[in-house]
Amino acid sequence: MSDPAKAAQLRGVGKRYGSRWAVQDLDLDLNFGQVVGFIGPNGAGKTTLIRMMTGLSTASTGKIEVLDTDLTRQTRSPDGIGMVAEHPRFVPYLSARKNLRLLARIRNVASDEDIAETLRRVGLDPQDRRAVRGYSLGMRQRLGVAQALMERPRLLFLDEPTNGLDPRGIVEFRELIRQLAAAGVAVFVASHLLTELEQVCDRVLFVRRGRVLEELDLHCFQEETVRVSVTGPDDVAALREWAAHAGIALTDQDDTRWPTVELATSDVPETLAHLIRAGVRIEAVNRTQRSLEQRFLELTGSESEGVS
Amino acid sequence: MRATLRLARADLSRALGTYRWLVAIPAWFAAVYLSLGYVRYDYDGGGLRPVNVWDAVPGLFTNTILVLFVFVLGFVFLTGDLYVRDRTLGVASMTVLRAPSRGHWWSAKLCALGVLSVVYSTLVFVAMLLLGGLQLGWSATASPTALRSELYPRWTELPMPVFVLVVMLYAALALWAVGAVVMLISTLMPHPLTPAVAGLLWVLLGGVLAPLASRTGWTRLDPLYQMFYNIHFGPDHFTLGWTTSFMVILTTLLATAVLGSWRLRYAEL
Repeated sequence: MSDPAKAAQLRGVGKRYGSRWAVQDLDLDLNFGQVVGFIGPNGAGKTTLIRMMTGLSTASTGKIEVLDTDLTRQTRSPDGIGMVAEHPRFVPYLSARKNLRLLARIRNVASDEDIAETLRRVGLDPQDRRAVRGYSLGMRQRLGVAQALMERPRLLFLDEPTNGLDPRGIVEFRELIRQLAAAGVAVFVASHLLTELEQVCDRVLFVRRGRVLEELDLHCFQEETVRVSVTGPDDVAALREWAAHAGIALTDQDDTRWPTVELATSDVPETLAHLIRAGVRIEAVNRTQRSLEQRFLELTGSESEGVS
Repeated sequence: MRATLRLARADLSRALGTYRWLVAIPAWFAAVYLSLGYVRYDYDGGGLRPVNVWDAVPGLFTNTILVLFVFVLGFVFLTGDLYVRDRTLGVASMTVLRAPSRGHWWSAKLCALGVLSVVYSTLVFVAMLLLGGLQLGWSATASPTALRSELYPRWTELPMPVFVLVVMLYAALALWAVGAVVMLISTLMPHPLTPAVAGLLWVLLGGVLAPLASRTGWTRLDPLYQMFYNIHFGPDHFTLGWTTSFMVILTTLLATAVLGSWRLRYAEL
């Protein structure tokens, strides 16, 4: 990986457990200062990918380079990586600070001041002498983030990082991610909170059954639609006929007072002119923007898989 | 080396922080309390033996059932899943990322296991001495039973407290080797029940059945067999030299260090 801006580069990466592929044919580029989100249903391969990128697991196929270290066949984690597991565990009878000190001593990089500062940064009191066993889920999650940050990583992996956080914690966490990215840290987030990812990520990857369905650049993902409410069923039929003729995709909206459809177009004046000419009686028109959640649901279809 | 010791310290803190100790220690006290009759009563000759507190440890440590099913399996219950637990609870992701290599990470686990075996043995021996003192009577000198080497063999030139300390340290060393093998097995089949099942099978097949069937030959080189200090004393007991025992224990520890490091190079953490 010769590009100094790249924190990680994956090419054709696959991971097989027996006959089942957890991750298949995955390409990914992650630059410093960038936040990339990973979205998918249960068993999509999110955690498996993080484990491969941190050196906790090896890939079955493809090539993985992280922080200039080839992790394709070796399981040595490169320096400069921070990771927050889904449910971080700590020594229950020690305080947050002592827990971090215990971990920090392994590398001997973070000083006591670094630990105190990191704890403050994630919203925990460094002077709190309570044992971690008395912490709420949200506090443990904050401590998990602190252990990943205290050694100032250049690449941060977050697996469901907002688990257990209260609304204020989520807002603070979002701000923290932005600060880290602004400081040049590359961040890789796997989360089920699509709205959260939408607000912090530069790019997101939709994954299902180990394959990337779509990669979206959220700076460009401004896909707008037009919602049109019409007077009656005859108008809906006329509208459908016009949309089919014009080659515009259309979806029914059943949560409104008037029969309403959503058109995959952003040109309101032109659309209205056409509809009026076609004799469609219009009650209301709205310009809407598709959310990440809608896109995710479209991609994953109507299967009853849970989002994780 | 320093990184290994720092990792071992983290392992130790986690291992000592489990609630299992609160189960294991009372269980051990109960087992010792129930077993002290074995020291006190002379079942062959009838009547009571002239014993005191110092007879509790060496006397009970010749009892196969107590040593294997309580002392060894108790240790396996407490520490056998040191590797599996770290892996399943996600702790490994925090420590392995910080370790210089997986070899260091594994060596740290073995070091932590060594310290845990000493801590565990010390607690067990304290329980034996406390209950032994209360039931058999306190004394500063060796009992007539100890002087005649009736119940258990011993070095007569060593004062009883020193002899008891030697028995304890030897048991801790042998226990370390047994624990290391169980932990190595758990890397091959990383399931929460693997250490307990492996420990139980080993105790049943290697510790009880094999020595009962044959007290000579290669079965004596089983690390579990080294748990009994009395195997080193003369023809009335299962003879094996101290040097041979130490070699078996050290070879076992070295082999688990090498095989574990090799295994972890390919392990999914």
